[in-house]
Amino acid sequence: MIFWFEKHNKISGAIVILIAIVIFYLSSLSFESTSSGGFGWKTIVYHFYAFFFLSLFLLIFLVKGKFQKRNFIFLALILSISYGISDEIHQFFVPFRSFTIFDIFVDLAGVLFAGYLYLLIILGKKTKNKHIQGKSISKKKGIIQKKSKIKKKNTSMKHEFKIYFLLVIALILAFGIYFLIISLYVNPFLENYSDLNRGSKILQFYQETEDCNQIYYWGSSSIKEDIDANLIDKINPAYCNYNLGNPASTPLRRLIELKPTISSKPSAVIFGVTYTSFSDNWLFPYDQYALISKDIEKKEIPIFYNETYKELLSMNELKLLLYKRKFIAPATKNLLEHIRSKFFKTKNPSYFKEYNQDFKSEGILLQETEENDPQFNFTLENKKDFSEYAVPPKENIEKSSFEFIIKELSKNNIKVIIVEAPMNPLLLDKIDSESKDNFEGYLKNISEKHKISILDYTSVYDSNYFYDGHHLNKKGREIFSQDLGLEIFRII
Amino acid sequence: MICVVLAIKLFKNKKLQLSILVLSSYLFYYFSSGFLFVLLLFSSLLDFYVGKKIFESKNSAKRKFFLILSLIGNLGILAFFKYADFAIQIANYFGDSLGFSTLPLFNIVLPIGISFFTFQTMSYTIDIYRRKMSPTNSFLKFMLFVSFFPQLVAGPIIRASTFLPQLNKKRLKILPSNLKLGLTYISWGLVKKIVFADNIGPFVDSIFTNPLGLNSLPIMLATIAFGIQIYCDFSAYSDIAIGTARILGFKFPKNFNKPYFACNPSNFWNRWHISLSSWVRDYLYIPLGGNRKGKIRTYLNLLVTMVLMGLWHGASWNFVLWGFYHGAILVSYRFISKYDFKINKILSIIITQYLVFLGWLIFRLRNFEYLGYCVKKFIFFDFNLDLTETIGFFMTNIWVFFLIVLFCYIHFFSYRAKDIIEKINSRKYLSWFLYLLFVILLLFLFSPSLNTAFIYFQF
Repeated sequence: MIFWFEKHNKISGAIVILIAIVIFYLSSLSFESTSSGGFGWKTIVYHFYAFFFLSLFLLIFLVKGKFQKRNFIFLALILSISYGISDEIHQFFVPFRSFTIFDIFVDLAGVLFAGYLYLLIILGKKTKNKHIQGKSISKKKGIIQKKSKIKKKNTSMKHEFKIYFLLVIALILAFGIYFLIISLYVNPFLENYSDLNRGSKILQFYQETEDCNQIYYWGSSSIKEDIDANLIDKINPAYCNYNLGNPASTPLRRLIELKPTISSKPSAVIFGVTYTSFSDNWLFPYDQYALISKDIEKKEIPIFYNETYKELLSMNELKLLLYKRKFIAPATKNLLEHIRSKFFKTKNPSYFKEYNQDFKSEGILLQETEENDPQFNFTLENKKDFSEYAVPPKENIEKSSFEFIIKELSKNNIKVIIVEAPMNPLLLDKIDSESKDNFEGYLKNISEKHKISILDYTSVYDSNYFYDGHHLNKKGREIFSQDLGLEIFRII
Repeated sequence: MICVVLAIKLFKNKKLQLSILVLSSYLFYYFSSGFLFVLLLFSSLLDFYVGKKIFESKNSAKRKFFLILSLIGNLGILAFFKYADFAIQIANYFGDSLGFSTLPLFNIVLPIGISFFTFQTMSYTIDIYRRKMSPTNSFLKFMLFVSFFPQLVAGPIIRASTFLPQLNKKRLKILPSNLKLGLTYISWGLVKKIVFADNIGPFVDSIFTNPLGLNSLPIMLATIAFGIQIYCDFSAYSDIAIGTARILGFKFPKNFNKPYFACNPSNFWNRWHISLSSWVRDYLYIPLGGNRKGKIRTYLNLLVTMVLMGLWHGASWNFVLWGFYHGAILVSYRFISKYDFKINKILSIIITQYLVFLGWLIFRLRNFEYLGYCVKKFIFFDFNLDLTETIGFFMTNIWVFFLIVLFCYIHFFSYRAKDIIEKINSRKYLSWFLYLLFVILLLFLFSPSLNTAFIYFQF
């Protein structure tokens, strides 16, 4: 078959052009339903075969089966892969399509495979020809050395291509194994046990919750650890209270929950804030966005997100797949801790615990203790940098997000109450007065502007009620939940 | 790299091949340091010209003049870009006490790999001056020697006498044996950098960001971790450079030889960053008089050489101190070794490595308050341990400790196996394929999410 195409060289050239046109046409299509950088077996198969045939016919066209023209092999391979890259660049400018490195790798695999196959074919042909030629030469001139030199060269090329081939196969196979590990080991961990999973669980909660005069408690781990929604339920059974606190959460992160929150029609949102909520130096766990990004429609990403956040939100499936490797270690650690807890009857893993799905009492770090963290005083004494608590005087991305959320909730008749979460007085002493003034001043301004209540619990409880700097212990949580519950129902 | 290999395969003309390599090396440097690639050109022009002049001159004063010209040129670039701000800081420190006004800093961006290529070019002129080699007639070859991209940014420091003769072959060839060995080197280097160094790094940073208040256990573990991190990081780059060069047909000597099995300080420097330590030995220690001018002078030469080598690593007092420390332990070792007492090999390795790792503390910590505290905890053991806390510490960092143990195992295995890369390379295709598959899988699985630059890029 290949020899026929070599004979009818122009047909091979025409096929190359035809395949190139088809690839270009398919890349021009703007599939709205196709998510950017879509990753699936169909895509892999399409890219692999398209570029395999493109480069095979290009090889046939350029090399024409002649070993003397072997340099054209590289030219054909370079041309094919350049076309693959240009095809991805082309897709970059097509709406709903994107530039995907992975596709280029698949193209490359197809091109290299074609190159390898073709080289084997012409090498076989060449060895056969030279063998016949060599015989006659040696008969005529007795040049045996030349024959062995040619043979050596052919063997060398065979070895070289064997190495390239093995490298490509190893890459493809390793990726396949990696894919299986992520799918079968990491994904179940992320879905069932990880702390990072809480973001998506909260989003799911909004969709599934039933209308029962819900009150949502938003905030970071301060809220998550400090509020027992079951206790508040007892104070006024007419409302369903849900603790939706999420570790390290800030107003910016809550933006993602705005739309589903409004759709679930709660009676009120109690927005817990602390100094870190408005700081520029608070560590932002980007992962949560990346992991729940598939639930977000990109068009609805609020304007407040900067490029980094947007990038994480729009991470395609392949990037997300590669990104998830960072959870292999936590998943393994979690698994080991589970095994340990089973065999030695120890406590379940403390940091990676399956959540209660009821969003009531959600403490996972501290809920069982009435003590203070023995390390806290020491850590506080040695801590020199308190920049994560520094609230800037100017507007920042967190403040803009906060105000936007309040406006949107109020517009939809959802009552908003701001709660300044309790802080350990020992930690509070370390925060500079400028930050305190900026924090209080900003909240006061928002409260007046949007006519919403503020409940200030920042310095209400003494340090015996705290586990550490801004998490209450069991005793503290009980008292705070009751105090807050009573105050909220007085306002509502 | 793929493009370079394809181009070398495609074109058979040697001049064209060398031009492609020079061009790609300059492009490589341009992408990392922008227009500072002119420094490469300057260094190449200067030493090519000076090398010729030294060789042609019969007059020894003239020869010396040209040598000094080359040294001023190379060391001048290095001094300006690397040490100018450091010198101004020192001048300001003393100036303040004398009432002089403060000099402004230049805030110079350090060109990547400057310490490596300036040392390479200096070795060329010095060797010609010493009549150990004759200059090359081809500027193209010399440009390639100065800028050759695999080792341009982080070494190893290749001498002209090693590199230039390799350009005398008819043309460059990509041989399957070189390709296989090169890929083995590169893949092994990537594992060391990505799987080991980059995963251990965050643990080291977390401890040394503020070590005050910690007991000896975390400090010692972080020091060991840093020793492994810097070895894996730096030797990885050397492996990648050696492997890349090998694919293109160049043979570079080893830069590391199981340094953590060194049984005395002198032996350590024969195993660690061999290209630099042999450079300072041949071009600094020996010209200073080496061990030929009496005991006191030998000790002094050792100290001066090591302090300057410390300073080569960076314009900071901790590097000076690190160099001095190594100088001091080399002097002490020399002093003790004359008594000729026998010591068990394992014990001698443990003692040497304890001293080497203590040195890593000086290397890592620029804050002298932290350094003092950590050194104290490293020397005077304070294992005031709370069992729950210690278990918590190990559990939190279990992944790092696993890597440390794995590294120790591999390091020991490679010590026993002599040359692990050669061993892997000598396997048949199926075993080599399985190795490759395993390595790529490791890279997929364990590369940290954020990119981490090679530590030695900064030197």
